[in-house]
Amino acid sequence: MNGLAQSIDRALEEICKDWNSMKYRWMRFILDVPMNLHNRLIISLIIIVVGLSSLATAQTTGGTLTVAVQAEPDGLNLILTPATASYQLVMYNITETLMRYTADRELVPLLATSYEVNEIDSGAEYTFHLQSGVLFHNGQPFTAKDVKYTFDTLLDPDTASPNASPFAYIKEVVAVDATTVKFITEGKAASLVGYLASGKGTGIIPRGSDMEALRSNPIGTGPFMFSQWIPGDSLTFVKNPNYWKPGIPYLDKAVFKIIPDQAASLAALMSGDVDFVDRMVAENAIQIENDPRFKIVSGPQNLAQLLAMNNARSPFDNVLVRRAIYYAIDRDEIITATDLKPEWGSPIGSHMTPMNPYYVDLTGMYPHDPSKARELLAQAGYPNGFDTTIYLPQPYQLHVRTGEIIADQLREVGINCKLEIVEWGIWLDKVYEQWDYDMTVIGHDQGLEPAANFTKGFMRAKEDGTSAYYWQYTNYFLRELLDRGNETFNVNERKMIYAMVQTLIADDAVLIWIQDPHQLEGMRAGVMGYRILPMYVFDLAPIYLE
Amino acid sequence: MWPHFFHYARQNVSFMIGFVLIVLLLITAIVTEFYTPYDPIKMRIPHRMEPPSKNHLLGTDQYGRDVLSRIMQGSQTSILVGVIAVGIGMVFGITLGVWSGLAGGWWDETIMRLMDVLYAFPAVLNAILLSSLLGPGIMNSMMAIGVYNIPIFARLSRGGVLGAKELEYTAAAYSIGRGRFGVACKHIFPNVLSPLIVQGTIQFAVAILSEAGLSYLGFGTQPPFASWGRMLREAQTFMGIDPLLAVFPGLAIAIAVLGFNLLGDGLRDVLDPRLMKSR
Repeated sequence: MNGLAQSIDRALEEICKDWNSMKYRWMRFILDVPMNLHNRLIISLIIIVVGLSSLATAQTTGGTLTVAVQAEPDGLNLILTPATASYQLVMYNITETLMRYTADRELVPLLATSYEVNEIDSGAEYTFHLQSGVLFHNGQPFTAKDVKYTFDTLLDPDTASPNASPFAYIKEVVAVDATTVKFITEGKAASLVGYLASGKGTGIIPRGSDMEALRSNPIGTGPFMFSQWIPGDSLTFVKNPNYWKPGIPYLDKAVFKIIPDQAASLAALMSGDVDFVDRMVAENAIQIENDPRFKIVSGPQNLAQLLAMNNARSPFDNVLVRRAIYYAIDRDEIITATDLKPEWGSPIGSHMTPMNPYYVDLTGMYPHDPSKARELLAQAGYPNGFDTTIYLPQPYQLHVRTGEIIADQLREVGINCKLEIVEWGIWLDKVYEQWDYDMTVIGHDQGLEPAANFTKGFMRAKEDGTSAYYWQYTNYFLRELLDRGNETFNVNERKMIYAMVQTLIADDAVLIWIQDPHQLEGMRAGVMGYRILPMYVFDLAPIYLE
Repeated sequence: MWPHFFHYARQNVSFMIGFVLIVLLLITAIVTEFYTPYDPIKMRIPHRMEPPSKNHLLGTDQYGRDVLSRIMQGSQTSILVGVIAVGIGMVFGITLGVWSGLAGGWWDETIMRLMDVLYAFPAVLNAILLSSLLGPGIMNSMMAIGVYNIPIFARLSRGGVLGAKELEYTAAAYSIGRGRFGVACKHIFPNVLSPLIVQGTIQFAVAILSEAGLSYLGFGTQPPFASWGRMLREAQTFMGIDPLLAVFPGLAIAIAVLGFNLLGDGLRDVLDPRLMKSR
């Protein structure tokens, strides 16, 4: 008898898998009440009936969603542009990848059904088994040849794709048969699968596509088809009626309105011109937060905001000074003042955000302790502090404000910071290109693939072996470690390596890591199903209107 | 002249209102040098965006800084900008204008055409140009506003000189053997001074407004130092949450500009020579 009750439980769990956890927990509570089989069967039947009916009405189909986005795409062919504004709209909506990241940060198959890795002498062999019966928007069937065409084009030097570099180790892509494709890599590239899910230009396009034509008329296998682009005004996507996953998508149409001004997009939401404002600033989000007509969906956005120091320049070449600065800074104050609510930002302690499965929490390494900071400064030979300059990028209000607060906190320990708020072009030139700066506040968009987070900042080197990145931190041991990380397939071993990497750079206080400011999505209360992805992509498929 | 001046000034309402407002502004700026209720740049983040209270008469801003203290510091910024900008304009403008009027001929032509060229550039454009060349900052915006003021004073003083140099007292001064420089300093300049003073007061208001505009655009005063325009800019993003933050710096700008404009208007009436003679 007990066995029967358990199997009913299991069946219930199976049915209710799609329910959100709240409802599920409530159900478990009932199931845990001691009862005889008779009662349990009756309650279970009720729940099944209620559950099925609510599942049937949960996601209504149809309707148009209008979304305010800040930036206009730079063409819609992700192989040709590095622009986030393009990636945000096209990825997963129009073009699909072999693998994808879910909102729960899991790496799952999308156009693939499964994959195997074989280590071979010169590197590795990834074999992907593909979905069958998938059609492109132009009616062409999706096969392994399209995968080969996509990656051959991406890696072709004639294409000159700005997004090819993470895939440089792909030696060959072989279409074994219609539903099997093999990636042969040089070196043990453990990061490949992660890059395939998140890299720009990895969305599969039909073979024979013209690169230039895809810029204004993208074609993929995704749940939405491109319909119209009015430059400077809006882009329209329509439902793909032949989408290979049944029942998806729910929306008939999605319109992306380009509204660069935050105040204007808030006004558009208030007046009903748009249903959704992508990436609100906290000042606006806090205004609609308590309004029952609207709601805010927030979550970490995988952006590492940091105070970068020129590690090659005195006094920042002294680790004691860098640690002193770390002790002088109060992250919680910064988060309260810039994100307006403590829960709208997550403190970070190393070059990864809590979004990353490889993240190690190191925020406790340097607690806010001004007297300790003064002590370290004295040890380093600066008992009275010193004068320095912080460059702040003018278009990013968040970084400017953070810089103002940091200057105030550093003044406390005797470090006098002059603030230089500069145009974006000047910032790129002075800080990012010429490395002619003391300190700066900026955000780094982090990947989910751990190797991606460290490649530029900690691996890139000049001919003499010293760092070739703007914070100019050179550590040969760290480089060895990162090489190992890139070649290790075992997940646990990899986790160990990247935990060591994070601890090492935090201990050296290479940068002062501040926070991952949360992404704030404002929408009409009737917009359901939206979930923040751990990447800069606006996923339309799960959204429905109530 | 001075007893007359005070006699007429006291009867002029707009002069008196303007005068009181400006004196208040000056007192604020001087007091700020020795005392503000709080450190105007020290942040106290736990006390951010507090409404006006006994502790913070005008409330606190987004970083918990006392708004009253920041407005007081802003008054210093405004007066400094006014003095320097009008100073640059007056010194260079009057020198060029008087010289141009006295010398005449091709000197006059060259200088005045140069002034026309300068006059064609608005102060804000000048300031944006200067700050993109030299970086943003209060010094550069003061210089830019000052340069914008030069042709205004040059034109005005040249006009006065052209009128005065034909008059009998100028001829008399020449006839007793004074040189051109002496005549210009001793006889002509004092007689063209009053419209310049009036213009100076009004330009002071314009300078304060321009600085506020430039700081609002991000070219003027740099953080953490306070200027009314900068405060407005920062308050703008928080308008929906704490509208009072924008009200106080806005009021400060309005009062200062009104004060100088009223003073200028009043001075024009009071210093009018026809008025002086007829009474």
